Amino acid sequence: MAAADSCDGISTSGGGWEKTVTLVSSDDARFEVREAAASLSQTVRRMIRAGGDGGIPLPKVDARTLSTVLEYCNKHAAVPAPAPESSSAEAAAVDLEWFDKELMHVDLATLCSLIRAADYLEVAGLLDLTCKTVADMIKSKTAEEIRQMFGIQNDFTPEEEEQLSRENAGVFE
Amino acid sequence: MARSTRKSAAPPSHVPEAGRSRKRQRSNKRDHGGRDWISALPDEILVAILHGLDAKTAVSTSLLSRRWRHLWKSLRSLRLSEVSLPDDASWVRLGPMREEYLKANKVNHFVPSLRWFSEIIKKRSAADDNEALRGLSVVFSGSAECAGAVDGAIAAASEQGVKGIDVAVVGDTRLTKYEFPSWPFSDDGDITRSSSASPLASLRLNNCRLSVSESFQGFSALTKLVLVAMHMSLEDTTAVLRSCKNLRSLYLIDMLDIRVVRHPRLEELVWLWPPPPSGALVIEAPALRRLEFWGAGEVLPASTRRSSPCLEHVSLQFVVYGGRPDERHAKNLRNISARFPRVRSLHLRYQVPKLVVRPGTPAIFSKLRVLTLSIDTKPSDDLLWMAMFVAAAPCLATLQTN
Repeated sequence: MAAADSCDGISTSGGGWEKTVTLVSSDDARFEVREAAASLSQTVRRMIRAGGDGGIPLPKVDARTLSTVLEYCNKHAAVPAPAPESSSAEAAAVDLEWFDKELMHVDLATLCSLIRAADYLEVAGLLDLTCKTVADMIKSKTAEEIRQMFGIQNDFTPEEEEQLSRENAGVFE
Repeated sequence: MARSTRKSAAPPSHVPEAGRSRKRQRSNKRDHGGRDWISALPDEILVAILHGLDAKTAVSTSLLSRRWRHLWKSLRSLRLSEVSLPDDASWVRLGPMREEYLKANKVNHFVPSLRWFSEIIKKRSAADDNEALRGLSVVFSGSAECAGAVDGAIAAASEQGVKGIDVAVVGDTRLTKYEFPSWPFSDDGDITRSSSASPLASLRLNNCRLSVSESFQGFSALTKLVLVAMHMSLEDTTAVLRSCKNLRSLYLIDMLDIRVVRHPRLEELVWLWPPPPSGALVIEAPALRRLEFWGAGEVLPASTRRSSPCLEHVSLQFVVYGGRPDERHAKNLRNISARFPRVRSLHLRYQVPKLVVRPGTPAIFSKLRVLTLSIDTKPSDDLLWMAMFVAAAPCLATLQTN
């Protein structure tokens, strides 16, 4: 693998077959991760290519969030990428789906940290998953229910509310 | 509008960490802990969240607060449905629904909101790449009352230079016969669009009609075409395929009248459930690199090997539940091993439970790297097949069975 060959400076403890890299969170926690899993993050992948000493610093992600992100990456990189052309492996897909659902059982603050981390680290699958989780929460609820669920302050003046309902009359009549 | 939009969002770098518990809560209860975490996310992410919603729900978020008021206007693709669909609905598997179901799950004011959206679409600047609509997806019953509004939305999207359109009809088309309008995309008919050819790149149609004239040019930019359970004659299909001069990817799913696929540039073909056997199926696609085929009559159209020399990824599924053993199956299966000398990945699912099928003389799969086998004839045949492939494929890196 080209990426692996060019990462001399990074501590790679070749434990058995797997090459690993070290990621460092904003609060200085160090995580040793299989390179295959860490590479699900495009940001990390680029940094591996660039090389460097003493681990890859991720100043925008705290340890707690990073550990969840890595939980996701480890699980999703575990399956030797079933070639997109093989439409089988249904059992593995069901297992992953279940894992994803479980992973999303978190409070809102955590969910939002995960979204930001997935965005910053460019883990496309996790960003999709977290955004979809929020979208599913919004679905089939009234505006008031959504405000309560998310703690959103209704800061419209009565005049603005009236204007809004006029503007959107075509959709909500 | 009196007030300006509040575009302020915390910069993406800000990770919320106000004295919250370090332990992850594994519970269904979503507690916002007095803070509005969601609204603090940057615009792009909130818009990405809205993309996961149907267009009506996305617009309704404008009622939440000033922060949300204009966000939905950044949506580049709109999804509208006349029936509320289950979360896990697969587009390809959408099909005629029972009338009671349609009635019970009907979305109110579908036609007025469709018209409303068409007006909104028209007001966007087609020239502005950040504003123009890129995708439109409509699911509806196919009824005559809705058809005009759907056509209007498609025409409006076409004027914007839309790149992708999906239309699925979930009503009984034997009664409604909804036809996808090709006229908004034809260059000769439409003089409103500034550039001559439509940039439509992807078209997915499910359970409706489509026919174009011999001289139709409107699909010249189309690279992906998905046809599911369409009501099209062989002539219709031939004319449509001929007009798609730059097609790279074609999905034919549950298309009962198509027996011949002929296209010089096609690189990907997914052909599921072709018509039952009564004469040969023909694939003539010299540029084909990926083929997925699931037929009940043949393992593979007999002409494929000769006409598609570049095939690299092949997925074949052949399942017969019950029925009498037929010697032809055995021959089919033996032949597969000799059919694809250059294939790099092969997924083979062959289920004829009542038959013993032995692999034939091994061919050499000099490039095969990924193999997925699901052989279900008589018990333990999997092992025989694996042994054959391992001996014949020196580069094999991944072998899966299930």
